[in-house]
Amino acid sequence: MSKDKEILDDTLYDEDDEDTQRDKYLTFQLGDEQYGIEIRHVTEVVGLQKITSVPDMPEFVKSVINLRGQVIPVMDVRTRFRMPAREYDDRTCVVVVNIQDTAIGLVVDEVEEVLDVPENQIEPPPRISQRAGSRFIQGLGKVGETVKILLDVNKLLFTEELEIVGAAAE
Amino acid sequence: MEAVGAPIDENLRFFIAECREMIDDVEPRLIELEQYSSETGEVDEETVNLIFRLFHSIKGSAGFLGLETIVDVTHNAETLLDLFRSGRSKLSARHTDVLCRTCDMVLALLDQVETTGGDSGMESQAGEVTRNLVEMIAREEKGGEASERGAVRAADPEEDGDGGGRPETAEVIEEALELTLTPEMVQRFIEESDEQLERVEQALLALEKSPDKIEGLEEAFRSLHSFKGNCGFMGQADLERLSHGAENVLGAIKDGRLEAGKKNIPTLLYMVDVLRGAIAEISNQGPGQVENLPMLCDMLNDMAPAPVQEPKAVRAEIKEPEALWLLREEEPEPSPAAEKESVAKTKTAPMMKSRSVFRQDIRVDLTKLDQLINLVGELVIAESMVTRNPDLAGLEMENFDKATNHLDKIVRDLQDVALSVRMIPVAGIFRKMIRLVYDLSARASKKVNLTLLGEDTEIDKTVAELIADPLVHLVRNSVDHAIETPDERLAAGKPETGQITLEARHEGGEVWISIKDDGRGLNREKILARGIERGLVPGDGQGMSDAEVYDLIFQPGFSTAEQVTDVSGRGVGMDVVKKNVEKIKGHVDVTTQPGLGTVLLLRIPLTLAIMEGMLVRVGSNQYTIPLLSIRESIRVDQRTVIRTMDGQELIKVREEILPVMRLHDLHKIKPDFEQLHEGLLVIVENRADAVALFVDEILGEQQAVIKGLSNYIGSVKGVTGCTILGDGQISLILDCGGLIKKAMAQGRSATVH
Repeated sequence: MSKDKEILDDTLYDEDDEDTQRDKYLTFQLGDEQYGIEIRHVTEVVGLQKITSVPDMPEFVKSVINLRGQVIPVMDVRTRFRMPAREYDDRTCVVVVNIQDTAIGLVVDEVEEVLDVPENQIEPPPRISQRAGSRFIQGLGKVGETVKILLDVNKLLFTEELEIVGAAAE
Repeated sequence: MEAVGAPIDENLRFFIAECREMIDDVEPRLIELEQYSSETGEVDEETVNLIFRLFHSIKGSAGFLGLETIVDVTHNAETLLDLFRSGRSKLSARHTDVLCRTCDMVLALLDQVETTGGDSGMESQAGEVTRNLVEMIAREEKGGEASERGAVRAADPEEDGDGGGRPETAEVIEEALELTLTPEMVQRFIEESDEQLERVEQALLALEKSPDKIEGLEEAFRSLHSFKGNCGFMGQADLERLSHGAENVLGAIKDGRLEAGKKNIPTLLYMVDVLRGAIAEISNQGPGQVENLPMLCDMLNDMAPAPVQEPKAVRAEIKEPEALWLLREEEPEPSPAAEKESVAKTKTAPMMKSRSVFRQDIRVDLTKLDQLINLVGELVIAESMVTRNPDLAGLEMENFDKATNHLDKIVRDLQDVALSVRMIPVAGIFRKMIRLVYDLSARASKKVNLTLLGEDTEIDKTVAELIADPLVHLVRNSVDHAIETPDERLAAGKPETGQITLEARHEGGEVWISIKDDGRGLNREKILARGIERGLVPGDGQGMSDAEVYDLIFQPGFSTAEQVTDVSGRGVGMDVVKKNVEKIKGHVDVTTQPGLGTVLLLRIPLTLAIMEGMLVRVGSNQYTIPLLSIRESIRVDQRTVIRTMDGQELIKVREEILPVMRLHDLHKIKPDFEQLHEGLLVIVENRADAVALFVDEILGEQQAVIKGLSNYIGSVKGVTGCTILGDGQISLILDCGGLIKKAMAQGRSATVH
């Protein structure tokens, strides 16, 4: 797991303050659990705005939004995790991540805070289930009494399921 | 082409780009020059000088960069041109031909440089071109003061190419050694040399048996000559000198100054052995030196009476016709003579004086330009989001409005300029056609006159690159298939010389490029028959309109079996032409009159960055439909709507029955209206097909800055991108072609909406 991270570190675009951004996670709420993604992938967080749906796309990436003149696709993370859908309300946010030169917005229920989770506090993901959502887990972070599910953004965006995207859209 | 092996540096890249441009400039001028010369019997000084200067420039730069092969080829071209420049010779088709082939050679060498960083490895081809030039020069000179040059020469940028030969010296040859020889080059040289020496030997043996049969002599001479050339390039001084001596002897025998007697042949054979030995040595990493070289050379010199200047590679009197181009001389030269009439009729001085428009240029990296244009596009959107911000709705702000109007104007002007930066005149591609038509008509034995109109019309650089090949193909088709042979034309009461007119002009937001010919036109029956044969036509095609029939030629699989000529070596079919044009969102139209001619019209949007669109609303979403695709929009009369048993809706519009597409279904949104007669139908078409799109409301025309959907999304059927509206909303741009395909598919698969 940490090897993947190292590779990620090497290949991703440089950041001057990468050191200060390591081990920091942006946490957000989805359903009953709290999830986290590495802050260095996050470019910004915006409130939900008008989304435009694009036809013939898979359920979880079916819309785009206008981000200051840039058209970026939006992923409904709930759908991605095969969780039941939820009405968007005024706390719903879009977390914009940028990875492999692609900008994508993640729709989440509510954004929490930025937390420090040092490596030694992270447990590897459950190996037993290789089911849908579990593939995206990078690790389980212990923060005080709580556990945050840390997500692998690369996998979230680019895992096999997305090949269906390619095929469907042709 | 990707650089393999040695990465080429900035200088080389620049040189390659420049040279290509120069050659592009030279070719049409060469042809103009010849036509002028045959018309007036004179050589237009200005043009010759210009061409001469171009070759000279190329030579100079090539020399500076150590590209010996290019230097050699261009130098000889220069020398030849000088003969015309100084009025010592008249320019004819033969010369143009050879010079054109020289241009081809230089381009091929440039390709070589691009891939390998050097121009070596093509010595035999280059050598042949050089030889043609040299022989041609010699012919013109008619054995006078020797002003030819040998195959090897020094890299001397100061050479003023007035034909003055520089005697070969050892230094010169040593300079050539500075070429970095790659192992591949050496290998190639060894292989070629083996073959060449083999041929020489065979020829000599045959000669020994029957001394009066001299055909083999030609072969031996040529092979030895090429071998000598290669040696020169490879810096094998000894071999070069020795083979030169042998060549002299062979030449003497050929001229009859020497008998192919019992004494001479064995000596020559011995020399071949020596050469072979040296080659073998080289292949074993040896230096390739010849022992007792002076002695051997003396032997050869003694054999051949009156040896001429050492570097002389060519005999002054060539009795037997050798090269291919000489054969042209025997044909009744049609081109220059016949051109006279048509030239006098249709061409005017302007063609000669086609001015080099002197502009102040600067080379800019295309990526920077793209960035610039992108940013300008963003600026337009951002500006729109400020000035049409919903926060400002309802406020009365006179000063603000004035200021925003001003800003608006400036931004639009900026946009226009930014887009124009990428525009180049079509003259570039058009002029390439001159050479093409010249070659094709000669090859097909037809007389064709090419007229270019609207060369100044500008199009986007990317567009230009994408239509260059289709244009070549269409012109080729015209010459090969449309224009009849002179006899056929005369029999049909047409002038002997066919006319092809290439025209470019701006029309609305598009550029129209038309290829018009006065040939035999398209044969509807034949096309229909072939279409049926290839399974492209359902049934017997009775109900098909002319347009639909002619459209068949663009279908993949239609390509005629007669598709032979591959002038540029690329197998481009009509279907590829159409595909390329559609790639840049253009259309191809064909109109024809049997017996009279055909017009092919390419309609291309002026720019790929903005488009004129019609904004429509479906539910709370707004979509943009390309204005050019819209035929009309109508209110629905319930009575004209038919529903098939599969649930597909059709509507009768005048005499046509069109499928209806409910956009809200497609995009899964809630519309205002469900009933067709409550909303509106926008009829869009793509080529001959049309479909009626059901929308809630039509909002109006607007200029849309096209933005692509993220790469993550990839391509979506029925959508060609999106644009951002003034209020920040995203409006998907519909792809009518894709929608129509979908409608057809829906109809066939009987899926209810």
